[in-house]
Amino acid sequence: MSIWRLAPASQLGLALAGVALTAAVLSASAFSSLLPLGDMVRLPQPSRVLLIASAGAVLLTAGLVPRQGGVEDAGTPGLRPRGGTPPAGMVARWDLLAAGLGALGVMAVLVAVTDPLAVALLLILAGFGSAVGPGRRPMAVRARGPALAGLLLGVGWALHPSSGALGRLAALSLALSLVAVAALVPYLPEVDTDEPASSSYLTWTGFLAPALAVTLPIRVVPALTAEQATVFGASLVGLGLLNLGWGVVGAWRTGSDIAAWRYSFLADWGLVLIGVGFFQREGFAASYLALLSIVLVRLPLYMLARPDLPAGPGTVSVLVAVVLAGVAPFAGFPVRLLLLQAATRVAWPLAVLLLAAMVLWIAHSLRLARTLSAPVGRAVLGLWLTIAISLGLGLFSGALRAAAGL
Amino acid sequence: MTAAVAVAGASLAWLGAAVVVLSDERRGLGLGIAVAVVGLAVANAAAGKDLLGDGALVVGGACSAGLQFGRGGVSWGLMPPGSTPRLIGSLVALILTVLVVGTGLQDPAGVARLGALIVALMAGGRLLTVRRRWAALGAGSALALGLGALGSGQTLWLAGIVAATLSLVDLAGQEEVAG
Repeated sequence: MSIWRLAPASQLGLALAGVALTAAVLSASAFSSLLPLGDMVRLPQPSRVLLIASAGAVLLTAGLVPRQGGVEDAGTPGLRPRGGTPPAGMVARWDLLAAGLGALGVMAVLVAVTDPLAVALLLILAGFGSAVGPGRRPMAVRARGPALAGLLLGVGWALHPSSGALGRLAALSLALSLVAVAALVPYLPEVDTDEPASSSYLTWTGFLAPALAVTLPIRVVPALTAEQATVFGASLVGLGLLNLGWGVVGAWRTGSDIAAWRYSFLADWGLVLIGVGFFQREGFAASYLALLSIVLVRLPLYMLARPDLPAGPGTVSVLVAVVLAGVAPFAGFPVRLLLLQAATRVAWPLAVLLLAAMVLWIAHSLRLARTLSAPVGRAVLGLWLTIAISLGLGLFSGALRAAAGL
Repeated sequence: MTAAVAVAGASLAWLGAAVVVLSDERRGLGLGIAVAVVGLAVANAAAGKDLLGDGALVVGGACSAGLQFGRGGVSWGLMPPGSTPRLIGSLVALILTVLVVGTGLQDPAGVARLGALIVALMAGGRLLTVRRRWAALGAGSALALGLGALGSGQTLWLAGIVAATLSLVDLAGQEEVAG
């Protein structure tokens, strides 16, 4: 069936624009010094890897998401058949692909622009752009998170040359902007289990924010004084511990499986923030690997999960639980190892806290794994491919670190 | 002389941001954006920033204000009943910002930065409290203008483009039922 019959022109335009922007950023950054405004566009190596990984995640989720009954299907206008002409599954996949590629283009621009004030302005635009689509909450409410992140980033960056208390306030604002852009605690929006990810804050938490989280510290930290950097790092570690605890306990104790999945992203992000806040090579590498794991493992698994179906055979559940718990040799293991290594160097009591959270992590991993135990159709391939990716991330973490220059 | 002009511009910018915060109709919002962007442009010009970029900021703000104004009804919606907390908030925002960031007030650049900061903070506050689509987009435009005025050169251009684009988003979409 022709793609022209499947996709409305606006979606096709969105997808093509996303691909064009991503390709332009990936290629232009290689010879940015030759461009007229070359100093405005530069792609750090870890951001490049994350951008490519995000493109892979779009293809993986759009190609292998189950046709109906997945976490994302309930009440999703974008995932319903339109006009009755094309098969529902094909329309759903095309919707997802177009939205994902569009978001990828936005992400490419956000990570390539070197001036944090320009990034703040683009965040506001991207926030409203992502809130334009249909959703359960009003557009004004959905645009708040990215707009607040833009405000905090812009104000923090504008005030960072100040000294004394104002300078420290600027560093705090910069750290909070990173948390706001990913919609983490304390900016966690209300979890509405009926709201699909396409219009929920999870678009930012699971897809757009990871590349920004690796890029912003690279841009911002070198410009901070030692005192400001301490405030920035300490804020991130504190917020990271808060999100780690909130995510682990929330995903374990909440009554809804969908909410549990969404809380599990907080736990991953907790590790990311702590790793960045340590200002250690191992810590940043752990954050980078955790972000890759969010984009390539947790997000696809979340899209493949079918909490409305009864649990299937236990073998798959156990394997997925092992993947989600970060047991060796899967993706989460090097993250935990590097983070504990960095924590023992910075302050060993932090390592004890991290270990406790990692043990508690197992409880919600088992619960989430049960929502993936009975895959059908393409979801089977998607599930095994995601497990293989997790294995690859775990086994070749050294090569991935080398690819990012970490 | 330039310091006085910068102070006048920053004051005008605060007044515009206050109108953005205190209006419950499109016309009032448009007026607020227009006053704020003129104030920001005057303060920036006094601070010696790029005039071309300053012009782009004004054009972006004018587009945003014009579209809000054009789509508005006959009412201005300024200071409707129940807006006293917002009025107090506008005054408190001004006082707090001057107290916290007031160390750079001896030069026009510091005054211009203060004006931009006030606009950004007040517009951000408005954005976090509204539920209507047009009000959020208007506040988003004002926020972009305020943040853009904190920078120079290309950032001013970008702020103008973002403000105008948000107005076009408003133009393209349907009004939601307020939840």
